[in-house]
Amino acid sequence: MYNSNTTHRGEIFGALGRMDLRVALLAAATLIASASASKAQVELKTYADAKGYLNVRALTCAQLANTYQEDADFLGVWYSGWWNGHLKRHSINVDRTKQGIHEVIVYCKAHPDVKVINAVDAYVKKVQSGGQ
Amino acid sequence: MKFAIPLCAMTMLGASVAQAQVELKTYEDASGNLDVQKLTCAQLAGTFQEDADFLTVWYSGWYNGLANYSKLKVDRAKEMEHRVIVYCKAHPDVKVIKAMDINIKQMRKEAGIKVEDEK
Repeated sequence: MYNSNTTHRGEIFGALGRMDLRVALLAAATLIASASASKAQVELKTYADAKGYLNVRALTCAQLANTYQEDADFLGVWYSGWWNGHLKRHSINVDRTKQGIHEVIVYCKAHPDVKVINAVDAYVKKVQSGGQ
Repeated sequence: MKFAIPLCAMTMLGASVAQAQVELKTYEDASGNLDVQKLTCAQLAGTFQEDADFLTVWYSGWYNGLANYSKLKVDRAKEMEHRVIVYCKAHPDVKVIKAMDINIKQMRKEAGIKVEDEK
């Protein structure tokens, strides 16, 4: 009887222990994933210099891709304006611009070492050559 | 009957607001291009908030690109975006590039920023 109870209790604790272990492992995995995600995404100001300025010529694709989506979108629109201003172009095609920003962000995710201005340049050249 | 008049007023107000907000593409030419030097504050203020935000960020980049500045201060760019939209709502006849110019100069003055800092 005693043995039976002990065995029964042992099974219950064993099951609980397995469940605890599973919960603990799941929690640990979630924590690691969340820590990794939060490490991957940083605010744009992380890349700013001591005066708070971001050098748009030096920013890399890894930095653009590692910031929050909202910041990446903001930066993409700003870059588009900057690029056009730089080339003294005074018009914007909104649909094409939005498509271009999306493509540059996708390109940047695949080419982290490239500078953003070079990624924009590559995209513009692709469009100009009629590529998709 | 008492409800009919406020309801009618609300409907008219709603229609007026809906009429005031148009998509950016309304201002595009046949090729889908928007001339940023011609766009007025009335047009910027008359578009949807999301489009106005998009356009002011683009203008900020454009303005810096024109001036050959390669530095961006994100907080200030966002503050400027807000100021230009507010300014444009109060000055519908002004062109957006003029509104940008006025607000950039004002913000630089307030912050004691020299142009050299931004190059």
